[in-house]
Amino acid sequence: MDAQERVLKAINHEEPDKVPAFESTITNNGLKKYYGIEIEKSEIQLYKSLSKLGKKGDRLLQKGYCNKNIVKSVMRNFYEFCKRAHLDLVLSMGALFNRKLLENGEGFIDEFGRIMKFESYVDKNGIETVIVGYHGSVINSFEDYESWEQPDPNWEARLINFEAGREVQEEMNNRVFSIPAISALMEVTWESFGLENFSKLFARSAQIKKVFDDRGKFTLELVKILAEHDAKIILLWDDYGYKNGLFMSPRNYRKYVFPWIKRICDAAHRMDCKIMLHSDGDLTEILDDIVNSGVDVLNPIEPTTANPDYTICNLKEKYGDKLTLSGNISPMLLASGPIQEIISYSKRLIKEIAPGGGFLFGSGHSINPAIPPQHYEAMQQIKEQYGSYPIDHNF
Amino acid sequence: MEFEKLTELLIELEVDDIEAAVKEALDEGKDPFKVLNALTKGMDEVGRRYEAKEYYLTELVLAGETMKEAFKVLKPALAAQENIESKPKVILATVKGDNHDIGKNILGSLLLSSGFEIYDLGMDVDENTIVDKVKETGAQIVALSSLLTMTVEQIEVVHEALQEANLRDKVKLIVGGAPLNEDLAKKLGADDFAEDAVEGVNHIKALAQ
Repeated sequence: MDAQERVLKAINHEEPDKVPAFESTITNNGLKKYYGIEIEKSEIQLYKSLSKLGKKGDRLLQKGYCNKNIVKSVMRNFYEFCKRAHLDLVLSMGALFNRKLLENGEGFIDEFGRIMKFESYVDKNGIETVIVGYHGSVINSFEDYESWEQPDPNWEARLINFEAGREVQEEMNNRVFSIPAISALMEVTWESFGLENFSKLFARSAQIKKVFDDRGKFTLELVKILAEHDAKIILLWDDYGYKNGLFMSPRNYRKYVFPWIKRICDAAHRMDCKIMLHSDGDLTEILDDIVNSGVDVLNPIEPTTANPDYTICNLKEKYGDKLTLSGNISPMLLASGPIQEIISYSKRLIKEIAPGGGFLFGSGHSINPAIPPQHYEAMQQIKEQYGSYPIDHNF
Repeated sequence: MEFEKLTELLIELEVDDIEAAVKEALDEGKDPFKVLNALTKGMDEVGRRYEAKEYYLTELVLAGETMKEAFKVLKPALAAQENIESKPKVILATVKGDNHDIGKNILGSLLLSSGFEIYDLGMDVDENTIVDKVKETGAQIVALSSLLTMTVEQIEVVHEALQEANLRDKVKLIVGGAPLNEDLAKKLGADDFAEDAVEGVNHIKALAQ
């Protein structure tokens, strides 16, 4: 069974040959080294060189996104890493592209106006990993927003990246399954204003509605384009919560976000495409809305929220027949250990959540540079050893 | 402008109207400290509503913004009369390597309305900067935020730096952030841990006594 069949079967709540694995983000050069993957030159050097060219540098970057050969060469390295890291499902980029380089190449402004900067982390073995972090926005008011050139769902780079991912998947004999990941309604909206300015929009209801509707239209249109081109699953990046609950009230999610999520899911389903939602945090108060909107997969089921009832077991019991659950192993546990606890938690997920399908094995957020390769590999070895269907409960 | 009206404007998050209302109260000759008390009552109610899940993060942040608008006119009036030395001092910072400040900023707004003197050092702050600020201000409390798994160990670095500077027994260290819990916070050398900003204010009030 190849990775695509394995993942799709699991998402259809059937048992494939073995439990599929997925990480929404895996940025850890120590792990790359561990799996024998060449650590490519840091993006920072490229960005520094391009930023010296001013607007020409911005244009060259945009051109690069539209050059399938360049995109594929980057993907080949990353997908090979994912394959060696035992992952089945991998992502291509469908939104959140860079629009303008920051001076000195320290980062960029993305197509939603967010300022993103490179941040360097050096692990205990001295291996550096560069991640991209959110550093505010260039949009400080509704007036700024209105004058910002909104992202175009029809921009050719989106399909080129999706097709490049799929072609690399084919080159790898479908050992990984590539799906597009795109922005959605909430995360890019609050981040593109900053939380303070975003919160102020609620004092002016016409403004907040306009912004959410713009995001909804963009996402719906892009989902239609990708699904028409045979995307089988689309991941929506859209954090709704944090450790202690929701960013905004359930009432506001129902008013501004879920009507769009339902339209997006309906449009995708009509074209035989599934929707995976990535949202951090404790989502307890809107889980019914997520399921009723038609979301097929929920990632990453954070295990370290402040709500002791927000557990993958409770979610499995209540929504297990409708919703595929993805993730849940604590990144803090993966970073700090002890390894025996990583092993026992991984075993527990395989035993209790994997039977019947509807489960993608992985971390409860991301694989960040603080996670030692041995810890990550220990987690994956449990899946390799015990994750074949039918699950043997005697381990 | 009645004090009750000021409290209500804060509770109802009237960010566009609060500044004019506070100005009106001060122009009428109302005691700025009584104006602050009215606003603090409003913030306390916002905190209660947040804990009761009647308000959420956006409302909490909007309340902070409303308070900031009020302070634009209130702060000069308070400064003319208050004695800063008598206010408990809190240093806020997101630890080195971490650039997340939502929780820290909300905590700052809430502490401001609770009568604390705030020294917000921002994000990605190293241990030496924190130690220097403790020396400079004589702050009794250091509140640290860490959202990333990779940066929680910085709490221990700050704890040790305060020890080396012989300041650790003079300050209380309270921490918060997504990867943390009470056990881990204590293990890293903190005196206290808070799940969120509202809990943080309550804990800091207790630590300040």
